[in-house]
Amino acid sequence: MSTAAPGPHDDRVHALLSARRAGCLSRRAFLRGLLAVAAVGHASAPFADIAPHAHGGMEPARFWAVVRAAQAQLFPAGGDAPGSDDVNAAAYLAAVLVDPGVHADEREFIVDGVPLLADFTRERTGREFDVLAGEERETVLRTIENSPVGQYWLSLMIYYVLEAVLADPVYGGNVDRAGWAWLDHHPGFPRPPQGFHATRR
Amino acid sequence: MAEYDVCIVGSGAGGGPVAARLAAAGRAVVVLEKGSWAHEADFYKDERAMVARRAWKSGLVAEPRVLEDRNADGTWTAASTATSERDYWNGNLVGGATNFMSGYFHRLKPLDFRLRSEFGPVAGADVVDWPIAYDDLEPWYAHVEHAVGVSGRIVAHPHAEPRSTPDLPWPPTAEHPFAARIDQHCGAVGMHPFPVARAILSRPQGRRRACEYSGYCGGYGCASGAKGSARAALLDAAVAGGHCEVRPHAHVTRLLSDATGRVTAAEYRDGRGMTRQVTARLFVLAAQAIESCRLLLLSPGPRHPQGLANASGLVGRNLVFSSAALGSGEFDIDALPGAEAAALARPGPFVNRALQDWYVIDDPALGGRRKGGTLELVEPHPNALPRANGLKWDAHGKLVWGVPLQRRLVHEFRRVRRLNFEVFADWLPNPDCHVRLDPSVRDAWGVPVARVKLGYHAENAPVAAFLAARGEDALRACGASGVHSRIYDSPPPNLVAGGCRFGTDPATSVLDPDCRAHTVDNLFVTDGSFMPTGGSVPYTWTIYANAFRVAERIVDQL
Ligand SMILES: Cc1cc2nc3c(=O)[nH]c(=O)nc-3n(C[C@H](O)[C@H](O)[C@H](O)COP(=O)(O)OP(=O)(O)OC[C@H]3O[C@@H](n4cnc5c(N)ncnc54)[C@H](O)[C@@H]3O)c2cc1C
Repeated sequence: MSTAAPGPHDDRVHALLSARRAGCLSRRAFLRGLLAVAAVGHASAPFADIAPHAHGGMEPARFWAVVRAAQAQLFPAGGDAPGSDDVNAAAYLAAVLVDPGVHADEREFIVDGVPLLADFTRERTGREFDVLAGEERETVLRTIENSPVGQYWLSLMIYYVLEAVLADPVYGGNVDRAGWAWLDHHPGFPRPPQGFHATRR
Repeated sequence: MAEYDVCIVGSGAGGGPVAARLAAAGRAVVVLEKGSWAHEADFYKDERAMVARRAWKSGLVAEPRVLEDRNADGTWTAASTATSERDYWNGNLVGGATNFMSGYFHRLKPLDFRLRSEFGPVAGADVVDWPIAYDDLEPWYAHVEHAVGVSGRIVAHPHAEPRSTPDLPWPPTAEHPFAARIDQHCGAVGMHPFPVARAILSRPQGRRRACEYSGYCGGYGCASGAKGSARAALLDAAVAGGHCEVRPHAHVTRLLSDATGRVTAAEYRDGRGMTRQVTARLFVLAAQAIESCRLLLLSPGPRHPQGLANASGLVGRNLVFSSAALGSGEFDIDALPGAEAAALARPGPFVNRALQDWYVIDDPALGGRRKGGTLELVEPHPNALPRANGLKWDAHGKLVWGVPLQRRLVHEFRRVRRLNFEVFADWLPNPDCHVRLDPSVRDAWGVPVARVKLGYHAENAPVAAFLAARGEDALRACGASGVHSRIYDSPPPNLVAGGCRFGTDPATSVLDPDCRAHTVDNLFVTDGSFMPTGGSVPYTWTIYANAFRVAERIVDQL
């Protein structure tokens, strides 16, 4: 993830975005392209030469601490709203990351964004993302959002939190129908049985 | 000796009626369907599977298409759906897309069969009259009402089409509270809202249960059997009768023809990847418009060097679509009368209202009398994910998250109820809307894929805009606020027809008036490809009716 100010890489990003919009670029080439742009000029970015890795090269515990902290910022508990932890959003995302029904490139992009967020936070603040206070997390995420790469990554993270809030509980999120109850949403019937997993690409 | 009397390719709205009728007549029928065979018990209201993970649709990477769109500067961009991930599959399983349709059923109107004589030529559009009239199809529309199961209530209105029977065989499905609101308020401003027929049973019939009002209809398989899919309504009974065999996982790759030009066999790939053949006396193609065109083009033979049935070069030409615009308005739930608000708490019942006051438009601003269309008033689909996900963007393209996102969700799900409309208008057949074989892109088995050019005629837009404005009027008349609408900039793929238009002249049509290929004695095409123009309605009722009509011709000749 690049920095806030429009930088020398913007032209490349715009080219990638419009090629993707026109359908000329596969999701793989698009996401790889975005990550490559993000990695340039980012001293500690581990993605100059990107190799897919289960936890983006991070310790699994670190990886998930950052994910959970980011999800909590994107979807906090409070009022009558269930927070990301209440709907098991991290475990839900872990299942998504091995779901063949989700495009492999999208899964890798999500994974690879986590160390970028972690490194960027460390460079900016000297601390880990997950120990930051809410306001500091917000500042970091809003900064990241200023780059198309970061915005795309955040949009995916939000989407999968929303799946955890609203998909059928058989998929591991929406614990005790907390998301449905909060929004007074009626899911229809019959519902998929426990253990059901329909997926197709 | 052929193995079967009739081999049908594709098991949806075009294939089901032919299989049912011929099996009832005691003919040996085989239906080849590339998808799997799911049953009522397999259908869950699982939004993640159906909406987010594309259950029961062909793979985008294994089976791509190439779509060509016109850019603002008039140039064209072609992209494979494997990379663009635009979904142009509508349901690939026994029963086809009819498993997932919403079942809003409309007949065409008498004038739809003679657009050219009625409204004259349109420059740059290939509008022609049909070789049959409404009266030829009317008995078959009536037949579908019983055979597939159509519910509703017939109400006179200025553009109602003539009927041979007074009413529909099934009473209407349960009504959404907004139906009464529409009748009252649209009626008060001089519009004529009428109940829309649905291919949904309001009372049980045989093995099929009545609608259970789960609220999740369009886009989902029906667990009660109430929806009139080709599978639940027609194929299940045909198979039980003993004369019809359905082979799922049978992906037809070409039709083989002999030196006389007749089709001898269908070649298909089975579930294990083995190439097999079926022989029959007669073949019926019903793989949905785009795939039927592709299959004909993939099947040259000794007498058909340009592809089967393609001596005219017209196979794939004049593809048409139907839906043209969408609109929405909202109601603050606290401002609605208590009983109405309470009734709105659960999804389930249907609005089932439409307006056809502008089926013909006579407005000087639009250049005088011309063809208009249908405004369908509908409850929003209860799917939660697309609705929620749309709320994460603000008006400036920035992301919304945290408490502001949660507030938006609460507003959308708990504070407002919406009434939407969909506009159906004629898609003018034009030289830039067609199917060919792509010269380079192949599917996972090395077979050239369909290349679909999606050019639209400039005259579509003013009609869509006119109707969308009337839709906004209707919503406002009903008391909605925040009313907005949007004209589609690319055609929705679920309502597609044309590509093998029927007609009397072999030089200007692919099929004869009975939907038999002009140049192939024993080949019929019965999905929506036969339609030279699409009418201003969704057209599955027409596809069903025509397929029954053609089935009768086939019975006569076998
Ligand atoms: C979500 C949704 C909502 C809809 N709502 C409505 C509505 O409200 N009203 C309405 O009138 N219409 C509606 N429709 C449209 C309706 O479903 C179609 O008009 C209708 O199904 C078309 O019939 P068909 O026979 O052309 O194709 P299908 O019903 O799709 O059948 C074609 C079949 O052929 C199979 N096939 C394709 N290629 C091959 C091959 N090579 N070998 C073997 N088999 C093959 C396919 O897998 C498929 O099962 C809706 C569609 C969708 C998807």
